Amino acid sequence: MGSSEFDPKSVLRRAADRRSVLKYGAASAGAFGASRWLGASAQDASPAASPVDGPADFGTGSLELSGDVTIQYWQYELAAKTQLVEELIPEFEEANPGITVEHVNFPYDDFRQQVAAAVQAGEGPDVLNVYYGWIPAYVQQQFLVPLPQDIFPAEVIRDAYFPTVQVAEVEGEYYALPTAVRTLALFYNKDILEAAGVEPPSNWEELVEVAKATVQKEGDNFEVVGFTWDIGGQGHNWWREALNRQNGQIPYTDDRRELLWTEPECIEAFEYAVSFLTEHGVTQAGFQTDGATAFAAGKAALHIDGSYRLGSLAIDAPDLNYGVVPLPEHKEKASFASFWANGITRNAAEGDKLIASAKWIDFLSSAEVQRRWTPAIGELPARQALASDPALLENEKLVAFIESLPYSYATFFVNESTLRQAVIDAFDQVVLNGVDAETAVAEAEAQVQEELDEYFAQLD
Amino acid sequence: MSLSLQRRRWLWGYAFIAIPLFFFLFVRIGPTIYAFWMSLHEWDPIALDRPYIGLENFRTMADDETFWKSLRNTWIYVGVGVPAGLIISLLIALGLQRMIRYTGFFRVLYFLPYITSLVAVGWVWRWMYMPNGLFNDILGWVGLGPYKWLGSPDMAIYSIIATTVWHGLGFQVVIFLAGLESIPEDYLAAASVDGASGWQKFRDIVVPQINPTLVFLIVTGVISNLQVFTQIRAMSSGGTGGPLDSTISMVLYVYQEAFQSLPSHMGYASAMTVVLFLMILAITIFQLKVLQRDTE
Repeated sequence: MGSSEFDPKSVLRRAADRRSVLKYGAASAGAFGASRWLGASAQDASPAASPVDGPADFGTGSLELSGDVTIQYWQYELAAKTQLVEELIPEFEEANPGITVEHVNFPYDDFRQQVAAAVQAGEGPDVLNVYYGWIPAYVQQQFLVPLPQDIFPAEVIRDAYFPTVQVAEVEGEYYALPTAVRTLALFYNKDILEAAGVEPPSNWEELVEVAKATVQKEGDNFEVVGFTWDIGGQGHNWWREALNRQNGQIPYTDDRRELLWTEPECIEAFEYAVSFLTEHGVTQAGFQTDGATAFAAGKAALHIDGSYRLGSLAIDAPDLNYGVVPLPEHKEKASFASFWANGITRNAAEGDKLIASAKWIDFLSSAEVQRRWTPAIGELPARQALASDPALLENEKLVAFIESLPYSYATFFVNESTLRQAVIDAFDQVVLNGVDAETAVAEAEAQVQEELDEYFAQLD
Repeated sequence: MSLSLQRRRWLWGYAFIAIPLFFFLFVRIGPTIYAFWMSLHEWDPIALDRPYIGLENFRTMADDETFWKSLRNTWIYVGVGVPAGLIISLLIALGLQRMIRYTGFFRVLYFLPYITSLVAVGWVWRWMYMPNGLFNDILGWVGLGPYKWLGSPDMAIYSIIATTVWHGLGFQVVIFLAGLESIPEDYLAAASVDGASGWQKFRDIVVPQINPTLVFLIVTGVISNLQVFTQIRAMSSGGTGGPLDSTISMVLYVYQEAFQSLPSHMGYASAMTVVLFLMILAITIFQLKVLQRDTE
């Protein structure tokens, strides 16, 4: 049927031809490459160091509109994010006369539903703030169109952004660009650790020891868990991207086509995670409903979570005395990264809407906005050069997350919800039904591999 | 030309039902038929084409383990939840009917859960079911437990049924009370004079007399249990179907496939709603035919 009618690439090429020549050149790409993460001194990271580090870093300022245009920007409702974007919109509109940005929000739980309903009704966003794990599906549906290569060259993004952002690249093209990224790290309750006379753990063995030293039980009932058990929360990410890699095994091949979960190192990592529950008796499933709640209530010594948790803890548990360290390492260092990114939908595939959308995305990922983003939201700058900003490193709770950035990995999802469920089920099979780890993981792998195969068969 | 009285009445009648009729056609029946149509397609609302695939969605269902699990669970919700709710609420109604003092207070007390949001109820029960929650604390005093409740694949579904029964109790008690109070005193008095025991009076007078009430409560109970959704979502972490899908119901699975999965399997979800629709239709017809006997 009619899929041949729509070719986002040719539409964009045509749109690009109509525009004036872009100011972007190889020199600025080189400037990005020079100020590499951690290799860069504080001076390199300052605004003056990069020639493209202005209000419109990808040079969309020179693009001309043929008239007034309104674009719809959709993102889910998270107070801190929506507030900041509400502040940013007037600034953007002032700098770009003729463009009006309509900001549409909805609850996170309704995200996929709202987008689907709007698209079915022939409406929907021009620019969508999307969870990176949903990008492949939206690309497959031809809902997201590639970011115009002449404005957002893939090699520049590859160089300037943290490697984790490359997961937004499908077949050599970027479909979305983040403002910020998040990593996982280990939260620890200072009071509980101090009372037990232990230091925060830095490797696998210490993690077990500290959890054992801090757990408090009364008979069979837990008063304080040594380490939260929350597979449905961040636990599944922790195993997939952190534990496996720390144990020396990548969880899937570099071309993302084949899962390697049943490699012995992955099974070993899986069993290591399970041992906290079954062997060491330091934690409990469903304790205080979930890990984040238990930690906020001061009833957990150790808890793995993302940088965005800093913001919610500040609100929910302002008096909690806690610190954050990088995830305990093993043979190697690794953490899980994730991000929300801005992509252009097929509603804005050409003409002024495309230009306005490109300008808006350029603005949202500009150095200036990235700098303002971290203190307001708790997410980390997506550009390598900005993350070494000394101002950020002054916040001791952020340091662990920032340090983890160079070795943090995002998972390539074909269907995020089924992959997550498959991993949760594997853990449940082992913990609740006594199935051996290898069988349970193999079952999960087969299920997810089938979806990967289907996806790539369609792509090829 | 003036209209006859007959005709004018007829017109007024249609004028009055026009709005509800419109509502039913476009808000109820229309989408139902649309769902039938969608069930024959590989329907993803965002994709550009939605190919017709005949009965393929129904064939997929046959091999889908989660679908069968959700079907089986749905029948557990109905088979355990409906009788349990009816028996407990009838007992309470019989007790309340005998009360002389504070009747209003107790009726309000039993009705309160029903007017509470099911999401709030689900969360409160979830806390009580926590490993270190209220239930395990209480059982701990008498040396039992701790139990996993919602964390156990075997217990989770019954834990949710208990919440559902508790929540629906008030409604069923009130309806039973209305039924019980409509039984003419004379029948019971006459039976007493004839020397009937309490059980005989209950079996031969009360039950037949409240038969219409019973049918109504069974039909509504079965339908609402076939559609159970909110409490499962509220009482499972992450809104999934409990540990190893042990609490997933058909409606929850439909929701997951249609709205949580990306890419959305809207066509497949529609096919499941067609199956659910046919099930509810068949059961309702059966119940109305078989259970609705005239009382003499």
